[in-house]
Amino acid sequence: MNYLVKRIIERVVLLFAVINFNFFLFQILPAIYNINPVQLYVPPTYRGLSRSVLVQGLEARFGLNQPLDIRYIKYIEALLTFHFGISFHYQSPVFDLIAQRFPVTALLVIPSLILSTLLAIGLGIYSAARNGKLGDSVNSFFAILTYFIPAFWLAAIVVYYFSFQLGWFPSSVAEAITHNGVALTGVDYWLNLMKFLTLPILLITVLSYGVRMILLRNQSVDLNNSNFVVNLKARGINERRILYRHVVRNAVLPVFTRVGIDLAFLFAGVVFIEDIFNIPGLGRLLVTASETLDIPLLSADFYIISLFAIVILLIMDLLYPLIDPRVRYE
Amino acid sequence: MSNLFEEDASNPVLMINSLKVYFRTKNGYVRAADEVSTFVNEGGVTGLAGESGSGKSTVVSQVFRILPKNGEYLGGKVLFKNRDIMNMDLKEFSKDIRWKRMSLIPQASMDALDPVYRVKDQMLEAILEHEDMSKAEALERIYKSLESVGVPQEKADMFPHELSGGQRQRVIIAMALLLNPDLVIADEPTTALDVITQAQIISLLKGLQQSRGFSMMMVTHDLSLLASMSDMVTIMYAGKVVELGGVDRIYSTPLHPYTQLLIKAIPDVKRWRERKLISIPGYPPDLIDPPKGCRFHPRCPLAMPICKEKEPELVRVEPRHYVACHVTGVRP
Amino acid sequence: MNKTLRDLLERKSFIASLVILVFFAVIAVAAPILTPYSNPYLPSQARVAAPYAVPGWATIFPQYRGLAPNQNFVLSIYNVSGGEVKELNSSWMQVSVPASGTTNVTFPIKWGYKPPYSFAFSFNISPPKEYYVLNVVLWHGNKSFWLYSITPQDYAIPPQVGVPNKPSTVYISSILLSASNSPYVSTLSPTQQALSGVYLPTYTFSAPGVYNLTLSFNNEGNTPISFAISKPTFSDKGYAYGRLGTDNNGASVFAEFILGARFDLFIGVVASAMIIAIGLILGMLAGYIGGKLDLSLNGFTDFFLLLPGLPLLITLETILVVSGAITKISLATVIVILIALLSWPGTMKIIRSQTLSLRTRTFVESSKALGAGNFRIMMRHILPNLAGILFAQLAYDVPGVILAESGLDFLGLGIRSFPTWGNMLGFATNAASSANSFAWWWVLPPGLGIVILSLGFFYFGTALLDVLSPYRLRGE
Repeated sequence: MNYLVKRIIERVVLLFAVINFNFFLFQILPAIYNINPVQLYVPPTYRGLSRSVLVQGLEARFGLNQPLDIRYIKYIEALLTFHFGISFHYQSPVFDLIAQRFPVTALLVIPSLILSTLLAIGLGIYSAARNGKLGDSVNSFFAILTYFIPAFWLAAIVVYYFSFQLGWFPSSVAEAITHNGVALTGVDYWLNLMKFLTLPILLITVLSYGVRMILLRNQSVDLNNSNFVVNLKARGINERRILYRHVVRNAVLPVFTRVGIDLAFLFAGVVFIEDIFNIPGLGRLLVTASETLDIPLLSADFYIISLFAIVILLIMDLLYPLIDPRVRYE
Repeated sequence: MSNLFEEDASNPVLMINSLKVYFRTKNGYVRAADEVSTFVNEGGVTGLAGESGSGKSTVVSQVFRILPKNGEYLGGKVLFKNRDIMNMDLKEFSKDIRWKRMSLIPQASMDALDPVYRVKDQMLEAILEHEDMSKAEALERIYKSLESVGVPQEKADMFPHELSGGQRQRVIIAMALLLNPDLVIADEPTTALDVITQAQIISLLKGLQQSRGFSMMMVTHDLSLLASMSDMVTIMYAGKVVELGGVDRIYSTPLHPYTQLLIKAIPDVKRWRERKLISIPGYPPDLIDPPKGCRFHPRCPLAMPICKEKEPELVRVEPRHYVACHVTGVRP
Repeated sequence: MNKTLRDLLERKSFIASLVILVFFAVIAVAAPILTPYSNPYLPSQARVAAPYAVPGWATIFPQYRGLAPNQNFVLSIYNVSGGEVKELNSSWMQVSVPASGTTNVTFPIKWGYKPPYSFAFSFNISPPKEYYVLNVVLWHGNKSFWLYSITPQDYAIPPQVGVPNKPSTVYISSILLSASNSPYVSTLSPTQQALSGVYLPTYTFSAPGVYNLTLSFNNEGNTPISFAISKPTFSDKGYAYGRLGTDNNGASVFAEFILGARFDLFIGVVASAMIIAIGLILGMLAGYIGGKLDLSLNGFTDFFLLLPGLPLLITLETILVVSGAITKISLATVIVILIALLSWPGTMKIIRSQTLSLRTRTFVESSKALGAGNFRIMMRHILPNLAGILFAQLAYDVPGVILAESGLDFLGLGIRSFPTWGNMLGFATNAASSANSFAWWWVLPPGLGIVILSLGFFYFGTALLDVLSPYRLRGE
């Protein structure tokens, strides 16, 4: 258990560091530059009250007039109790905002994670089995190409072509979940929502499989030259069996780690897709919050992302020994 | 050439004749094994010795047809019990010959076994690939085999990384003997092990060879090891066989200058005070562009003008003794 | 070195990447020669052709066939009726109009396209002292358009236009024609009048054919009068323009593309160099010194890896720039620095692991045994051995920087005042969604630019790594 405890402590320390960094970023840094985020939200006058009165009122409401040490304690308290306060920009509780958008992004991200991993493994095996031949070169080239395709660019082209030109997919959520101006409910709602999400999900799949595929392929190629594979060949073991049961089985290990890391950071990573497709998910929420310097929303969002990442990484730590016998908690 | 060893190879298990394997590299072909010939007699042990890079392992790889991708088999015959295994259908070779009749003990290394499967599963796989038997029978055989190499049964349930280096090598030996092969090829089975383990593994191999009576090819750079184990010794230099003969002849009257220097270079424990360590001056040649004529001539103390011009052929100088040298390789 | 170069040149992927990088470098350096525009986003450099003009070469496709290009030529062929014309020199001519007579000078214009976006005629005139009327009429078959009517300044009654008695320039442009200066436009309905700038070219140059510009000199007096006029120049702005057409403001996309390439290449290399500098210092210290320093630097790096990159970038940019905290430094500089500060962890990890493996090698061990100081060993032994990886890593980091910067610009949070590939894409997709039109010549080049340039850097880095580094770090 020693190893696991060490890992947990490491992760928690890391989370604590992130929390402190966030406090620095959102509370201290603006103070250093003499920025009062509240001022971005205050109209020159409102119902005859002067601007300074309004600012003071808002500061009191959001607790920005207190000294930093008290704010720090309140901040930590808020994070621990998940009471993140009220968003400046949306004027509604931060927790609700995040809770509303989380399922939307999850619906987008989880299917594409699964699909792209399957695609990566399938194509990775194809390339590994054909190492050095034309099929492998073409396959690997396309995978590497996907590293560099700007998501927003491909998304714009795909939306134009498939939604506007061909009309295969609804072009906005609103269009997808209403029929003749009446909002859909029940099964129809979900079916149409999924139909709308098909395009972004496929897009994320295509844009994200490359790294994992190349990882699997390169691992497999290296393993193909490793001693145990050569020995298996000398042992007369069937080539396909060597490929699937030995080479791929070993090559999948780093891919598993990679998928874990991708999963951990997924919620911050689909900003562009949500932007182009107009999907009200966490990514858009985060960008809006950053643009408007919506401090309560931002610090909660950053915290949730880091917390999620750390939880996922811990789960990966727990799962890893199940697939790699060399790692054991003793 | 085809019947070079006719007089001495009586019913050989393995007959290698003019085997030629080159490696493709960016800078040209590496002539790793150039017309290599040797044989293993039934029940005998043939040693294959030479410096690292002399082509020993290339020969073994090609015999099992497991060359890396850039290796090219360019000719020569390899007969296993008079069957041509170079031109045999690969599937048939895999099913009938590999492991079942001819097995390999590779160099000891961390990754000689697949790290993610238990020892017994990997042994099981080897048996079930070649033989039709129940899992229980196979397991029975695995335990017996492990016992015969001195590894306790319960280690079968372990993963390779949980074993010590010596144990892992014993498991590999057990693996090689699982299907009772006629021929075992050991490719530097003890390099990378510590000296004490080396000695244990060697005596284990010797014992097994004697008790089970399989034929063996022992590849090594350690001549002193061969002296105690083999009955025939093949000396390779720069991809060529320079001398081949019965162990007594090679050690008592080596003919090729390279062999002579090698034998002299063996440190002798009893006489260590009198003798300095001897090394052969110069470096092994670049195999992409080997010297013309005899490949050893730039380092040879006896070199003559002809050695630079003409490649010497392996000739039989006496019964069970062949040498490739213009100076000493003279037929009586 | 020679051998390294030879090894590199033997790789097809290296040659291809070199071709790509040289191509973009040449474009970037030669931008001022390749395009007359320094910043197509300035209003003064927009409207060089119709908005959404297709590239000139695209007229070979059937759907763009016949689209008018930009043209500018002098009308030199003419015929005269009712008076005399004498050529003064190659560009000026003298028109003599008899008493109470009318002289028509007609210039045929061969028009081979669909209607242009706008057209203009201009000529210089040196009018006589006497009263006259000069009507400018464009006609084609039996349709004629009385575009303009000129009299001496003091006699002008709208829609007539007055010209001073001294030499002056007459400029008649479809954009500037209105009910107040054009007899033809004043006959149109009020709605048509309001949009005359847009529709005039379609009414007048409605189809390919021969059009005639007639300058009709009218002498109502009793004595002959004469005008000196220059041969008129015809010009038009079309729907097919240049190498890459125009954007929604009619600005040259080609100019935007090469200026964008210039900026992206610059920002990519500069930010990568900064990333390498940070990664090198931290990675080498952590890897070489080891111990507690390694533990804390490595932890610091892990911590940075845990932060969400893009949102953090936007937040910092908002705090520093949007709020006005930093005004003395240009936005581009702030973005470069921020990207570098947020992107070094991956590079640091690679340099650290390389240093770790170098540290245990014999030459380092032996210098240590000889009593060399840590700093000296790092400078003399570690750094030179890292050089290959550093160069490769520099190439590897460029695509990441370009993608990050483009993303920021795309969202409208980065640079907006001059062209970058990112903001080109942002503007192009915004325009596409609002007008429901998709200007492929505007959308494709910046995206392809990013992809191809990134691939160039990636394969360049891979080739360097394979050839220069003692160990292989990555696959092909």
